[in-house]
Amino acid sequence: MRGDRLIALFLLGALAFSPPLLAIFAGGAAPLGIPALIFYLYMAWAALVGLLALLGRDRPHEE
Amino acid sequence: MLPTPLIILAAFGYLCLLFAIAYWADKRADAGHSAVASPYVYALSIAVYCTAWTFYGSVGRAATSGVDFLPIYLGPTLVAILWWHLTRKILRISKLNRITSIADFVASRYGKSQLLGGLVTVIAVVVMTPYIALQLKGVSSSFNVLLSSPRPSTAATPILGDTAIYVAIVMAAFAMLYGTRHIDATERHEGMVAAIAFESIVKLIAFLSVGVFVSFVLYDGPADLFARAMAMPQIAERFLSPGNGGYGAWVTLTLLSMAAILFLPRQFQVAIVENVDERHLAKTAWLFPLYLFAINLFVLPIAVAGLLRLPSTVDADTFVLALPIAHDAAGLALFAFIGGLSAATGMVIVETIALSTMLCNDLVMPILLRLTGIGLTERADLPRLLITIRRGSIVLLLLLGYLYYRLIGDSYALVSIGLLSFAAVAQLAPAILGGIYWKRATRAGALAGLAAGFLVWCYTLLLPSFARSGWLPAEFLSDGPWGVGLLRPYALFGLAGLDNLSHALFWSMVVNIGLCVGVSLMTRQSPVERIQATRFVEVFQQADVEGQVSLWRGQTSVLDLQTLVARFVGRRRAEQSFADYGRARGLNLPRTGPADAELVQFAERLLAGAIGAASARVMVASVVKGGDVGLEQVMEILDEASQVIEYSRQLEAKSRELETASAGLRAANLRLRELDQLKDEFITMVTHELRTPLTSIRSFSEILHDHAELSADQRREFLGIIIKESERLTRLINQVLDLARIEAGQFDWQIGPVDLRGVVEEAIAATGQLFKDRSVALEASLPGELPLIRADRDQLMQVVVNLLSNAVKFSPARRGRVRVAVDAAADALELRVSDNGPGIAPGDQDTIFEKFHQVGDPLSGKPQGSGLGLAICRRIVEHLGGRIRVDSAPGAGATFAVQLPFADAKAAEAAAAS
Repeated sequence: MRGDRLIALFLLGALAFSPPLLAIFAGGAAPLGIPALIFYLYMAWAALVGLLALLGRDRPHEE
Repeated sequence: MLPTPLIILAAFGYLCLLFAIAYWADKRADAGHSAVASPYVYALSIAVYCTAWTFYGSVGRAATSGVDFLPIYLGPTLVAILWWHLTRKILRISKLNRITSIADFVASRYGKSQLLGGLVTVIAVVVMTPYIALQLKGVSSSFNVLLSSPRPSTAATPILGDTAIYVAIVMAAFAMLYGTRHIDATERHEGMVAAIAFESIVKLIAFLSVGVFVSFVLYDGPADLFARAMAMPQIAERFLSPGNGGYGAWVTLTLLSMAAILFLPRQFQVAIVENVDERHLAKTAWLFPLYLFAINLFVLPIAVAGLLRLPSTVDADTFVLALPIAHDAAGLALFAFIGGLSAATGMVIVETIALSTMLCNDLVMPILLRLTGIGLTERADLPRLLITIRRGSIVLLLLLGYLYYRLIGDSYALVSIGLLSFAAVAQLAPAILGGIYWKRATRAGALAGLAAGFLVWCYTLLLPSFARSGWLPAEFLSDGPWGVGLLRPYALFGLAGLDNLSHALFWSMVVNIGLCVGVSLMTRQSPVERIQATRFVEVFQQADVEGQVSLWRGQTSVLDLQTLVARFVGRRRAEQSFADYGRARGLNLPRTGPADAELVQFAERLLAGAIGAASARVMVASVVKGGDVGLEQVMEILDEASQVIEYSRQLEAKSRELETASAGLRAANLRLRELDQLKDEFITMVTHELRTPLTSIRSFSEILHDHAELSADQRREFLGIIIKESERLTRLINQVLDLARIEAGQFDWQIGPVDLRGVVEEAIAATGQLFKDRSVALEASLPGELPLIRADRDQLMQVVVNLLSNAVKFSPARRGRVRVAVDAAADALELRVSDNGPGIAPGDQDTIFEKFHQVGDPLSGKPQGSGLGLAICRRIVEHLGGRIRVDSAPGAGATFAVQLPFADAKAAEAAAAS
């Protein structure tokens, strides 16, 4: 169960950092005056780490 | 602005602190209180991924091409998500097999191949030595920046004035002290790990400090910083979209960094070899990406600030130092320098230790063993030899690294080695990933793929970097070797339009994966390979290594094995290990007794931890007489296993059969009991029935015997009774015999075509007297023409007579009426005998056909008849293929109907036609 969730999260991460999604944000200006691409990348990254932490904390000893 | 002695003192003090921490952690480990058994320390030690190249280079890369530096850290983040699947598997395999390095891992998977281990070692050394040089260069140039500020110096530094040499020497000392303390490389180097974790904290805090200083002291936060940068179009454009190579390079960098975090020798060392507890992976899987996120948080602000504030002559790689210096924050600059130093030294320490283990176990030892043969084991001080080899390797690696840096320090070849090394390490991916998920991957396949992939890497990345450094003619790049355009290294076979890295990754992976898969499919695995492949791929299915199929079938003694192990790991440790082994199994190992296969395997694993899997195998083979298993034996082992499975399958089938049979037997037994009981009842009934006429015969005979005065009439009357009772007795006995014969199947049937009409008429005639006696009227309705039926005439007669006499018996005297009728049905004749007697209760209608079932006279309650008549009728009718039934209602008489089949098909047709 946890293994499957992690694989799904990996796919989500791969999608988040894939060229098509980056292309959406490229070139735009964004909140707080930070370029959209940079803002998006860091936000996505932080979200990914957060989700990973949630999954890791979930049931640490589950096989 | 900072006095030189202060900088040197700070650097030296920092390095001393490292020694102190390592010393403290090792002491704690010796005392049994591990200082590094925590997921936090584990995550920090894995952060050795961030080298000086990260510390200084990320900012440089960000300043020139925006977010291009990020994939290097996003890739590992993605891999961390897969740790639970991937790294856990590698970890489990490595622990079970006592793997000591990435080269050992590959060698062990592919049949403990010395050749593969050697190849991986050579690749690693060739690729990583320049990387070490790059770290030394980072330390040296950062020192110069600090020293010569505010004006960067370009003057060449003499060797003795070069910090790099001192750093290299101190690093060598550290690695020798804390990286080679034990011979058994699976003994973790806790001191080293503690120091590395500390270094990770230092470099993170240093970088964050500079980031905070730049963002919040020089500017009003990152937003302000970016707002100013966006106002300058020539700076802004770099940060709006992925830089140089576009999206292709982005994907390539992500893939390369994913391979790097898994397969860089230093990452394997900290993540796998130094792992304390597999369970730490879960927490570290998010702590490590968090670390990467944190250390990259201020890369872009520092890069932007550097571009805005510093003159364009300043190298972007030094922004981390130059910004604090330019704004008179000398202390911060010094701290940043220490941070960079920690990043560099951390990498150098772990890399040299990892490489020295590989060099010793997978290159030097196999060669020594080959040169000296078994003679090597005769040397008593092998542990010292091993340590010497490892320490020698460390010195050699650092010396090589330093020479690289001194000789070609500013060349493109060295500067670009960071990414080039990632691409080289990626060549391990097919052999390793294939090795742990695909059982069929063979040694030949891995060897071919790895060698070819590495050659393509050399051709498409390394040689071009030489050309760009000026060591090869520039035409090599522009026109291809010997002017062959198709062979241009950056556009091989006309593949142009990709960035260099993507181009190289594509071709090397095409060749690598292609050969690895193709050759694997075309070659066969040796027995050892096959067993190792199963051990690796199915590591989670196997409970523990002890129960596995053994590779050894030869003979050796416990003493020989222990002596062999002692030569490499020391006598005390060997004795300790063997004693532990015996205790764990509750065995008292006889020192001179023969060693079983399991113990041989245990010894091999002990040795593998010290000298690598391939060499351990050779050494064990030298003492095990009869050698290792051949193909036949492996097939035998496998056959044994499959035979066992087959046997158990057969056993299951047998037991199912037995269950069915025993159920059948139980049913049969039950039936037999019933029959037995019926037989008892039958005998009781028969004897009872026999006794009644016998008693009567006997009584009257006694009267006649004792009373001579009886009149002649009386005598005749009594004799008449005796005769009648005797007849009844005879009839009864005949019936019993008939029934018994029919039931036993011994009856002599005379079956043929029979005219039912004739039989019925004869029976009516035979029972005529009975009807007269009781004044019962008989009506017969018999059609003129009837088909013949198939029957035994005499028995059929008995059936009809029985039915008629029953009907008479139960009909009321004088008022009684009995009807006999015969009809033709589709394929049978039906004979019906009806009476107007008391009828049969529904509950009795089935049982009247059973033996000795008597329906009493409803008036007198006295049973009439023997109780065998209907039973015999049913037996006969059923034997003739017919059916008998009764229709009756109490008080309304009873009708017995007998159906009997026609004699032949023609008769049936005739009946159907009529």
